[in-house]
Amino acid sequence: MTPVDLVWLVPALPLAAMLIIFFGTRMVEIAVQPRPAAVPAPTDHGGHGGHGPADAATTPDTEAGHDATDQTAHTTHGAAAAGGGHGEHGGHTPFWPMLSSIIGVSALLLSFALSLLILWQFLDVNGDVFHTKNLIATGKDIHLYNWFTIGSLNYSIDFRVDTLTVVMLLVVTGVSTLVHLYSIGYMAGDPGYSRFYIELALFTVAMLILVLGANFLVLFIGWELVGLSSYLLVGFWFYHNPPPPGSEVPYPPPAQLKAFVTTRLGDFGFLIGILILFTATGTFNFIELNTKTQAMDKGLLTLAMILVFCGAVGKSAQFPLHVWLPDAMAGPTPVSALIHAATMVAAGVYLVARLFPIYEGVAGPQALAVVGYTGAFTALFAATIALTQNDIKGVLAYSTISQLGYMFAGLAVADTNTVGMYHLFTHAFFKALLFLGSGSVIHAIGAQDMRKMGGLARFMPWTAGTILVATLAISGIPPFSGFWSKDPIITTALEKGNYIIYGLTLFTAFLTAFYMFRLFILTFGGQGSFLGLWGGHDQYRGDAHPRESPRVMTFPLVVLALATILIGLAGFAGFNQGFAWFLNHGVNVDFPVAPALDANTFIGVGAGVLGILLAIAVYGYGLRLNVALASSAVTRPIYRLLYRRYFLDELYLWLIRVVVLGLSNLCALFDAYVIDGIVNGSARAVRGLGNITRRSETGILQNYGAAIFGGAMIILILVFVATGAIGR
Amino acid sequence: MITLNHFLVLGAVLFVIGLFGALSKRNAVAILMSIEIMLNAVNVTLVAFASAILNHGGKALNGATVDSSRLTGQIFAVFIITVAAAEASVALAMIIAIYRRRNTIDVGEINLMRW
Repeated sequence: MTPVDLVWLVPALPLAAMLIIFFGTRMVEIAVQPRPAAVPAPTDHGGHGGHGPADAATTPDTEAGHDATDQTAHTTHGAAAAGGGHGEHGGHTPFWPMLSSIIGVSALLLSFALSLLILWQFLDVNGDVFHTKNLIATGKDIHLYNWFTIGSLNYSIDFRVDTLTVVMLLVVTGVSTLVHLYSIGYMAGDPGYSRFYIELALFTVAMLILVLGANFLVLFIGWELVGLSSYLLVGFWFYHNPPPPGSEVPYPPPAQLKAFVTTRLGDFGFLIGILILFTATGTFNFIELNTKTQAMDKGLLTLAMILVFCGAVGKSAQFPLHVWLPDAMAGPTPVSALIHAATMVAAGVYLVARLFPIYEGVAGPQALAVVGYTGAFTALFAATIALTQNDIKGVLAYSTISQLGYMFAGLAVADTNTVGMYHLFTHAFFKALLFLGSGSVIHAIGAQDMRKMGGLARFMPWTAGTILVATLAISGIPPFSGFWSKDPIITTALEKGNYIIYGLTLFTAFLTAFYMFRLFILTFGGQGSFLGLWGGHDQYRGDAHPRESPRVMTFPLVVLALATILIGLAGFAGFNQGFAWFLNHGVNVDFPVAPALDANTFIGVGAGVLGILLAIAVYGYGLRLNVALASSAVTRPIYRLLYRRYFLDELYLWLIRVVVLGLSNLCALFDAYVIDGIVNGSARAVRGLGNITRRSETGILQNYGAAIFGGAMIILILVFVATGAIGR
Repeated sequence: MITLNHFLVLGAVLFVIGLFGALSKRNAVAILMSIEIMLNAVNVTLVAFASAILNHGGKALNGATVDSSRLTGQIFAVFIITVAAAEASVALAMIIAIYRRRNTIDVGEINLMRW
């Protein structure tokens, strides 16, 4: 029994934690909940005839209990909802919810440890420790059970563990563990504390099933479970009051629906793609598909792969289905971290990486071209929107969309899936860090509008310092991890001669550095401080009393920052080369994952540095370029266009109102006049016919008798004629 | 000589007379009487066939052997007479009941089952 045989425990542990919390601690929590001060029961009103004493005592009591809980819920979060975030400084978590979180965190920790063991086993190429030689090259198929069999087709639940899976397992369990830990602080005192941990565990389980699946069937189950749990978590604060009109903060109930429905649109194409592949090859299994698709019609295969990519577009929030991701900010910030780093949007990139042999080797070049151009365009598109947003999580959301675009572009331009996957790997850490850091800020001041921040660095140095690391990483500045994963994408595009993707990604690198430092300076710095970066009281524009978040929240930030720095430093020692070797099943690829220190790299880094310098000049030293651009008659419409996110939400709303509702109304008319007309018409025809024929029912017996004998006569004559007895 | 055909023609004539009466008379008692005539027309036919088989030397008209000791036709006729008597009594009782209620036995006016 080696760790890899126990891989089913990785999703099973969080699942068990979820069930324990659901049926155990949460139930106890509800049972032992101290009843809020009850309204004195009207026992002295003895005059009410029908009311027994017990009746009068219990009924108002329970009702009062519900009212009181609702009210506390509203006072805790209703006020915060208007400002758009979590309540200031949080509250105290009672024992039983705290136990829920401890169960959740420890289950995830065990999962992470098991994933690390599996990684060790994979790295143990010679089988010295685990006696499983060369697992890295073969991977391991684990058959769980046969789901059902129809004819010769066998549908089974299979897991496959190979190097790609191991990377995803580590990312998912690692980030999820830290998010679980962080939520102890962030969600403290929330009335739905245990529910939060249930849904968080479900989210992780879903993603683990997704990455472990050996065939489309299992992957799709995980895929939809991820969608479901993101729906639950985005709408976690569904009882909040709607934000005031004009606010940039999304409202949870519509946001959760938007997230679910928008990704369903992509899933529609995904499902058709899967079914095309299945019809043509007769298998869902990824490994079998690699060989069996070679016999497929090229055009059909390319179409199927593009349709499968549609699913990735929805899940990974690529243009034009990206609109749900910024609205998913309505959920608690740890959820955003999980969605953006590990569990939700990574699924699309993972899908393309998993099917990369087919995309790259078997399908026509158009399939990868669609992936690449969608990614590169989305990268630029989202970056331009991020320039103008004021909501701190909004900027981060668009930066995620942009970085996911990079991943797809990286998958499309390179010969292996290493480049894109490596960016997913590093991005998971620094994006989780950015979100958890922004959550720390929101937790501290109870607002998420950057215009109400500024100078927070002195108040919360740990948060500011760790976010600065992540900001440098996402800007592609060496030696941080982002540099080692982002630069290969840009340089590979150039080496492959794909100048469109090269130009788009290079310009986006400049924009990324600019808007990320804009975010950092607006939040933590301000004019008059060191480079505008490290501000204090003078720069603070809000009216709250910010202070550093508790250790349970800053600890994950520090861990993630260390990961970002260490992965970056390891890059000098050839860590990325090792990653490429690992992901390519222990084969050294000649593709240079480590950026060569040549002119192209300097151009890439230079674009980032330029963006940072511009951001410091504009926001740190008060170069009024942004104000000029936003107010000048020429550029003002462009600013509006970016600020309103290209009016895409409005466009979709218009499309739904006019096209979808119009079509629906047409269908309703068709139903009312044509379908109902046929139904009513047939009824009317039957009635008319009945009106005519019922005249034969005279009620006079003799008429019936005449009819009977007349009929018999006619039949007799006919028989005679037929047999030739008459007219011979 | 009186052959089978004579009896059959007599039966047919009686039946048609009865049928005409049953379909055309307005008086319920007259209709009852007509039905009796039809029944007896059938009796004549049955008995005629039975005796014809006996006279034919125990052979049916198409030559098949028939057990002549079985008086099937005659027994059938006796049954019909019995049933006819029962039918007449029931029908007369109904006619009386209708008369008591509606004060008429004109079947043209007894049309409750009309559309």
